[in-house]
Amino acid sequence: MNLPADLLYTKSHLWVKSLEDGSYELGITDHAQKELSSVVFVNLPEEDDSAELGKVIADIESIKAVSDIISPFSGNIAAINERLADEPGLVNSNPYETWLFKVSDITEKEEFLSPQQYSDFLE
Amino acid sequence: MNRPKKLYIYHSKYYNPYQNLATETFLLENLEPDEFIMYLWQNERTVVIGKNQNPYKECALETMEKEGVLLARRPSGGGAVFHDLGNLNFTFLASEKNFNIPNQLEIIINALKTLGVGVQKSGRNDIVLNGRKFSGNAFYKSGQNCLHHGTIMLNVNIEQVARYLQVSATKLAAKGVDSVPARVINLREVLPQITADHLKLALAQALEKQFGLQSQWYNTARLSRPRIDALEKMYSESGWVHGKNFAAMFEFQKRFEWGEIIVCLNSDHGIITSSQIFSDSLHPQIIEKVENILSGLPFSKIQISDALRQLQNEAGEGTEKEIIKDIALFFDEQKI
Repeated sequence: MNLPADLLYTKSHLWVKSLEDGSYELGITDHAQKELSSVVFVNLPEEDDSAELGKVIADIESIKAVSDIISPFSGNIAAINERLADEPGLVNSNPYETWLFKVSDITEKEEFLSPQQYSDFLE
Repeated sequence: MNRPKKLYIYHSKYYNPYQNLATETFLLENLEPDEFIMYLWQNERTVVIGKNQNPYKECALETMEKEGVLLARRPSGGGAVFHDLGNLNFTFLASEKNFNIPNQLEIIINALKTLGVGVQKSGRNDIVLNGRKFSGNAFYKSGQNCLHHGTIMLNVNIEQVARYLQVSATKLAAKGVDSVPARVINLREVLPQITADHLKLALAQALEKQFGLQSQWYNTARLSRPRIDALEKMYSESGWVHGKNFAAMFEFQKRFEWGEIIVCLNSDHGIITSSQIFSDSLHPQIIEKVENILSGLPFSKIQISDALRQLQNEAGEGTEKEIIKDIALFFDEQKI
């Protein structure tokens, strides 16, 4: 199981990475990208959009389906990964390096899973 | 394998695509974990694009606007399709544990079998008749709830499919998911008598057989009018239909007696966000007037035409009127 130790995870198969300035990067896990198979489009929010805990914030279209990304934070979209507009396949080839967006000014967040907890959850 | 405990059927009696999509989303949002819903609906003439498609790239918006064909964006992926009343749409809604695409496709295949048509599965998610497509399927997942919907072509006007799904060559640099053209066939070609009502009945029987359960009508008291109205508003808004991430760039060029112009327009959310006109004309202030009036307009040929005609009426007699008139006529010739 490919689960980097410096990341935290969610039951909806996202990873989050805490950054020094208090913001978070977010992406989808290796498990999620395998389930989706080839990603053809990543529909991201815009910078300065607000993210609301538990609400749809983005979606990923693969050759199988469109899947919503439900925000694990309330906060502000500080940046989006512009590379995904031209290279959506990065989500498949490098899921843990490919962040989708960064969230800052976080007011609420869900309870994250450790790598071990996420691994147990997958089984 | 997991099985739903309750089977529901719901038929929309409306032909408005925005209302029908709103109802579909409402059913998905309010699905209980043990329920399986089959929702059947038909749209008046509408091009329905996938969640992440660029309408400027996928369809003949101008022809559609002129001929009263609607544009709608669905929540699922995939390519553009044309709906009319010769088409029946189905939606299967289930929570993730009860969602099984091969089983769901079997419901369609078995329903057609009872009507006397042998169809085959093809590729990942297609069903074909004599190697031609009569049904396209698409999928969407939000949280635990999943949706599988598709078209079944009974008697669609195939000439119009080609008419509205053709794209113009002036559209550049547009991002989004591309449509894949397919050879299509109507079920009427092999079942001349088939109607949507026959098919609805056959689908209901095949659905019950698939799960070994009796179906019930979805209780309409569960439908919340305010929520469905809000969803309908969302589905019909230009920001959703034209898409926020689908800025498009257009470039048009022509030489007139008074000089050459190259017009570059950027649009976003269905609005012209910037316009630039490059020209070697000796009247740059006139060109600038036109440039300024285009910015901020809805990206619609009718609206552009109205604005230019008004500018033309206000212009002083002579060169200014002539140039604006030429540019207005030039826009009328463009495919937008």
